[in-house]
Amino acid sequence: MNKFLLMRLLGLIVVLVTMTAVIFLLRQVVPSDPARAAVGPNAPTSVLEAKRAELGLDDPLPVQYVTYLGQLARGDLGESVRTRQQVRADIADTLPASLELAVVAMLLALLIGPGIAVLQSLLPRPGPLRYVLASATSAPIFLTGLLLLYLLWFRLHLLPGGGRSSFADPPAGPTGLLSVDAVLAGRFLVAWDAVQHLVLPALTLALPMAAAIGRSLRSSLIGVLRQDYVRTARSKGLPERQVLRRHGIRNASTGPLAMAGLQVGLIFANLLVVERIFAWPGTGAYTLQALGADDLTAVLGASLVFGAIYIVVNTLVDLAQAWLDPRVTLS
Amino acid sequence: MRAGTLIVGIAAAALLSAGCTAADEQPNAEPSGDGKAAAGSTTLRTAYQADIATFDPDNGFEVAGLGAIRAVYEGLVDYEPGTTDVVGRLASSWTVSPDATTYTFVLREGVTFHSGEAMTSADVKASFDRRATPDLILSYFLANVASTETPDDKTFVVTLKSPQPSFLDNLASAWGPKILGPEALTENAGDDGSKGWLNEHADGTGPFRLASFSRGQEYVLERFEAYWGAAPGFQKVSIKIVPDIGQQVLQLRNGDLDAVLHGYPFTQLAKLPDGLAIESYNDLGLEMAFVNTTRTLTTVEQRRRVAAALAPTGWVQDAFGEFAAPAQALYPKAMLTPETPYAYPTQADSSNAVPALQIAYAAEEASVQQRVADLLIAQLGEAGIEATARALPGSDVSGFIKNLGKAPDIWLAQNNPDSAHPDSQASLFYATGAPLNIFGYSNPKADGLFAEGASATDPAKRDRLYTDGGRLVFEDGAFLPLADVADAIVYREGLSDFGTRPAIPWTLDFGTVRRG
Repeated sequence: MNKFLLMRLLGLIVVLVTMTAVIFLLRQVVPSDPARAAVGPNAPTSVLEAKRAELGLDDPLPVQYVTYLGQLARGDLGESVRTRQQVRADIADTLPASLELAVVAMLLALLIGPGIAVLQSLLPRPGPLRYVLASATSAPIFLTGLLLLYLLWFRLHLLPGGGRSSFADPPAGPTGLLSVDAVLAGRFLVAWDAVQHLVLPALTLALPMAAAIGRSLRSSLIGVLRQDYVRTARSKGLPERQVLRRHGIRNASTGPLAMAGLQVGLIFANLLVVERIFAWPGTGAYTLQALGADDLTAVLGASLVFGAIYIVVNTLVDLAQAWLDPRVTLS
Repeated sequence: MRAGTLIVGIAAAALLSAGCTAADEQPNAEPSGDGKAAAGSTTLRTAYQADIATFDPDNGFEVAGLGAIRAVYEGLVDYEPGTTDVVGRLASSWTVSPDATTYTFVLREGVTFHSGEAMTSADVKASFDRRATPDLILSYFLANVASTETPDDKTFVVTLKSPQPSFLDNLASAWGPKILGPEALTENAGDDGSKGWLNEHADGTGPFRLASFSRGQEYVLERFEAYWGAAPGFQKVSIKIVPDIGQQVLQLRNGDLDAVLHGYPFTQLAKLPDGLAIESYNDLGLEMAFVNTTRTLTTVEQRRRVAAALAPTGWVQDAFGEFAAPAQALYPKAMLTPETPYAYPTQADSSNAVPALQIAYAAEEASVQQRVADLLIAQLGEAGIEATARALPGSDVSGFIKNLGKAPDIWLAQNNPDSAHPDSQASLFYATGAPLNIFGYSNPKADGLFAEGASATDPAKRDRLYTDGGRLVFEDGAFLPLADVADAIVYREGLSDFGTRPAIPWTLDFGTVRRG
């Protein structure tokens, strides 16, 4: 186990350094000027050149890259040219909102996905459900989000339309997860309001992942439910629901769990779209604004954080797989 | 007890408790869903599509956020609402020396900062000194200032290095120098000249104080009760960040917003739902075509043929409806009206072969520019010229000059100059080496006329010089003025006194707007 974790940590470092190199190189291909992005379109040449010197853009590219790596080693993600603040501080402000949304989305997906698989197993004719699932996975996520927003907020007024809270002074800590912080502060109305605000964006993020998990689990279940021990359980009179619960789902979970781990990356990618549609103040929205403002430092910082989270989550998925299935070994 | 039952029990208890605490907590939202302004509400609710990058009035160039910053900070002078006339704001009057290099401002009585201190000339000098700090982005506004003096508490004297007739426009500009209070400049100066503190805090003199700054979420302004001028109509202004304009439109229709300040889709303006109204005004954003004279359209004859095809009289109304008129010059009409409008060629020699053209525009402006591009492609097609269009990241513009061979042939954009003085337009776009002379065009004769105009004190002579300089670059086909486009604020009925100014884009005046 220790060796496994050490290898994963080394792999994390290699992946993140490679990411910085790739983004740095890609940046050279893009025609825009980061100094101009920092000072604005109207600033005269003197201001532009001063900013270029301040950002070290006149240095050779390898020098710029090594300087950046040195900063990274000290935990310094640089300064955002857009917010004029440390990127580390910007991400610390916005990441809890994204994590709260992503975690709730994953939980929803892990609830809905197996539910879909079980339903398909129990239904005598699962065909129509399969068509609905195919639609859910093929619709672009922005369309799903806009439809949910339009129907459940604008038309039916069942849920709030955007943002994180309807309250002017929601609690600001200690976790940064508003629903949790509100409960800890004893402000249950604020917590309930925060949960309501979470539903639409989390559902939008969860649906594609749930459909993928459901499909994968359903395929695994079909194989598992044909096994001899399952036939034995049925012949002993065990109801089908208990057959599924005791013998089917756990034994069929390895593949879907791996699928869920891969889907985590998709959730973080979709955060940029979903946070924009729902005015959710997370790191996805921050990254999107940074992209529009040609704020490479912020984009790099956010990419590194998301990359690290993705690797950590997949490591946890591997550990969970090993726990679920003793035949899986960590190496 | 099974885990599931326990969880349900805790959730039920939490919900019951939520009911018990309802009396102590109320959410902010005041939706009415009927499109009318919520009666009796003392909060003006609006939204921005992008974060206010910084609340520091000396270090931010972004257009979004101008309305909020101007509600909190004021300068010595301002533009009168609805005009480009410079009037006093924190200065009650001023005189200019005969050699036009010394400006003596008499400061207004009874002005107090939000921190409680009375404003004196020392505060004005400190603010100007800070603005002139080279590492601040907007320091160039005071590049021609040689010195500042404070002979007494109510007098502030600025001496310029050379005459600059556009100086007062610089001060009145949306991004012009603002007067900052001691809480900003002294108490929170820190090691960085207050840059860090001023990012998200403020100490100004305006009708509102910055009550809260939650980046990415909401900014709240509260009425400043000791304001020297007329009290604002609202107790509070709430500005949420709603990046998607479609969401803003839905929130307006749902009653969650009182106004959408900018970006309401043009195609929907003609058929607004009941309860919504439009306040439109001409700002200084001129719809223009920048022409790359080095790639495909290398001869004047080719560019004249293209200009003839793009003549705006044929398509402007299709693109903008009643909210635009064909441009008359390379200056927005709120800035300058030429004695003789520029005339597009009516007949062009079709024997001048023009290869297929690439038109491009900023993706951020796609909601407007895509339609313009489609219409231009149709116009060019009728003239026998093939063209395609695509959206590019707006930031790519700064890189065109590095590789003109790969840059598009025509770039469509609406840009806002710094002020209402024609020099801010010419020196931003048309002069050799101008920041937004994106294809590196150069016309020394036009440059000479612009330089002469910059030092002209007679407005008629000034306008003539700038017009003539602009005409040269227009006739060379390098810059094509297409349309004067009006900005549109869509609001829930019941609001009035918007205080819009042509030189202050994308916003109304939070200090003057009121219900009724």
